[in-house]
Amino acid sequence: MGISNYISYLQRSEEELAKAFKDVSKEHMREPDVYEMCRLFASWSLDHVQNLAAMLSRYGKEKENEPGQMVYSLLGRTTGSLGLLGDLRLLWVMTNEVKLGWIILQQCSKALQDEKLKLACVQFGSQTIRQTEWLTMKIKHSAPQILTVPL
Amino acid sequence: MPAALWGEKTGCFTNADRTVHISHKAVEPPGEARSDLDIFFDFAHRMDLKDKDGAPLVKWRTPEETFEAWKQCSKGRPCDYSGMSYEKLSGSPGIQWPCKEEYPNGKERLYTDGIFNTGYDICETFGYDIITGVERNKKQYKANDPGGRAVIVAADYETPHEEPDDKYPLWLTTGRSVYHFHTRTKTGRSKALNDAAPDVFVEISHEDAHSYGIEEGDMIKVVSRRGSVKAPARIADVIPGTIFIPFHYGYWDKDQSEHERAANELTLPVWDPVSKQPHFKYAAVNMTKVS
Repeated sequence: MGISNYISYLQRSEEELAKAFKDVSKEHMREPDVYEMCRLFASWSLDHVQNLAAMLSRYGKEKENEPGQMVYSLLGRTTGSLGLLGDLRLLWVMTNEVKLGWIILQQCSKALQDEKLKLACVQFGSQTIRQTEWLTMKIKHSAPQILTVPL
Repeated sequence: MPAALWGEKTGCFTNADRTVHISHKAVEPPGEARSDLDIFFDFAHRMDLKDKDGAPLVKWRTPEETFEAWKQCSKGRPCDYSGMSYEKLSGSPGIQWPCKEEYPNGKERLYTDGIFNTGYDICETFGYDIITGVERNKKQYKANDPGGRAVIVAADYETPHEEPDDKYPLWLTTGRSVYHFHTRTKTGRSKALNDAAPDVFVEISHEDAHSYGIEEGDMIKVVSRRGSVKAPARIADVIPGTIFIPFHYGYWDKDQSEHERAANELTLPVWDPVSKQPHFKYAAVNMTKVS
């Protein structure tokens, strides 16, 4: 069944996202709200990883035709405030990808009439939505200052 | 600048229960100090602020004229001052807004009909995600229209931003003294209040005093990841494992050598996501006796 592959893919995506949040929090320790919020979001994503592992054990893992990994490189970015904007944008893209993953899984849960899976998708997907909302807000707040105020 | 203080200028105060009081000038401000209003007039004049008809924007010249302008501004709004006047306020112990034709002496209680300003077409803000600080929008609010009912907002438990560990084994909590307000710029200048609480101290429990070998009055150094405070110990009824330092004692009134006294310098640079209030409250610290 393709769904177990998808759960596996979403699990790896959340793991990458958790790492990305952690990296960004360390890179921008001077911005207290970025530091605190990214650490919190990393813990949410890691929690999702564990829960997805539990789901995987129910559906069985398949090896063939695994979808590609969500890989975004945080290397080669500029430092300082311009780096912050770039990092936030990258996180935004990654988090939205994960959000889509939960939407897809939730749709499948309805087709499979798996109420437990559906509730899990609603619960964890709503946390991902909150991650994207904060990132959008933070980008909106920071961008004018970073881009329009002369150095 | 400089600006005059309370008693040196005429104007009104409005407090949190909507009561408006008038405060009349009692003495001339010292030196070159002027009322905020006079500074504002000067600023408007120098900025050449104009109204749409080309005339000066600020048309009032006295505190009373300014109050009359404010009455017009607030008329018909929830905070209606239009029924008040300097004469009326001077002869009363205070008047609550709304004060208008319907309530000539102010309205003591609001929402007596059980109807609040929470309709989605009336309210102007719609709440927040209290963990992330993200604002709700009208669409989301309307989709979950509480229909006049109160909304109880829940949040998941989160661990503290910092917890005691091997290097910093104690909890610090900060707080107030009954004798001082904020940074003591006023209360520090009152002899009675200053004498009652002249300097910073650290409150520790009997148990911690015993295990650290600290006696009442011993100088202690308290250190967090962000700063340090040196203060005498007071042994008090504090939970073992927690120490308390009042936050009033910054160093605006001290020279360079006496800067280790600001409790807030020990705390975390973290703020509440919605209100942006700094935590200023707890930290993980260690404590040593200073010989």
